Amino acid sequence: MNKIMAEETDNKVTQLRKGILELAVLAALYRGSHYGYSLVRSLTGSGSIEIKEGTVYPILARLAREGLVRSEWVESNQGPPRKYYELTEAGRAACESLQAEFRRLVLLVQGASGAAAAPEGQQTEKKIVIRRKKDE
Amino acid sequence: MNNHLPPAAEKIVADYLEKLRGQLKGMNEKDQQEILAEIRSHVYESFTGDGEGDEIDRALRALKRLGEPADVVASRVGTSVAQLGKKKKSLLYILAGLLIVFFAAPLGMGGLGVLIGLLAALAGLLVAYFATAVVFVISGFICALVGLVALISPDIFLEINRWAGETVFQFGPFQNHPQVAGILTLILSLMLAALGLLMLWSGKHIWRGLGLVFHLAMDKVRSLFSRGRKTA
Repeated sequence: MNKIMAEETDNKVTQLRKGILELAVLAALYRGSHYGYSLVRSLTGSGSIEIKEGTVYPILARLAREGLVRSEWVESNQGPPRKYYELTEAGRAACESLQAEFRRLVLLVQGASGAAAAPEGQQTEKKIVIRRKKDE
Repeated sequence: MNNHLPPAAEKIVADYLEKLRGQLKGMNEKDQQEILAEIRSHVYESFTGDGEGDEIDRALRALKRLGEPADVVASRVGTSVAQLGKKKKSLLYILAGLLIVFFAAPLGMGGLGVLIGLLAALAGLLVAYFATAVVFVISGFICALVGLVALISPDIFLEINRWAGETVFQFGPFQNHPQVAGILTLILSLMLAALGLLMLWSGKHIWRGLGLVFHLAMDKVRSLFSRGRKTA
């Protein structure tokens, strides 16, 4: 019984990480352009999370298909050329609104225990309102 | 391909990339090449960033960190299959896919011959099918007309027979009841015409299915030829 529950929890963790990883990729590219390997390094650099490096490629491909990132092959002075990715305008906008949403979700998860964080929550809500106005 | 890895490491990496290529089947050649080049670049960076142990260990570790080929291409293959799934609703479309997979994919050029033969046979069948449908419709309506005439004024046939001097029209078992023969002819010929129309209508789907088979086949042929050029 316990084993099954542990498996289910694992499953949930995987699902949760999948969604967040995409946002993490967007956020890393928001800070600057990356090629696949450097992107992995920047994601795992803090040592807080371990991912199979290959998983970033399907994410990048999906983001490219959605028009959120664009890529370019750049010659490297050592080794094969690197494929650099950077956010498009749509990608930057998506990243901003996803980050705002993410902050709200973090507050939601922390709930009452995160009472101290409430003012920040209001701030993010304001941000969203402002952004939406701009969109209109 | 330009390789920057030492030979022993290159062999391991090439083997991995070959497995990866296997996972990319069905994707167009250009996308495949691009993904393979990108992953090769990743492995190179990962390999050179890891200074411990001999080159074989380093190559193996780089690939382990990267993950299984299936993980690297997970969603891409997923979406290309999903995109196919969107188009392929009818049984015929699935059949088309199976034809390509079984005859064209594993057999290479030999499969191509089989495929072309199959396509030609299919095209022949289709032509025959439409011809039959058209004949059914036309002869159905003509017979219906004859039936109608027989019903309204059966004497006309007797007149024609007399005029021709021989028996052009005959009412078979209903020799003495031309009206009954007329009604039967009318019903049967209208059924024939309806069958022909039904065939023409359903032919529209078959036509579309064959179009897809052709399209997939041409895609396959293109990728086969571009692969041939590369290895040559």
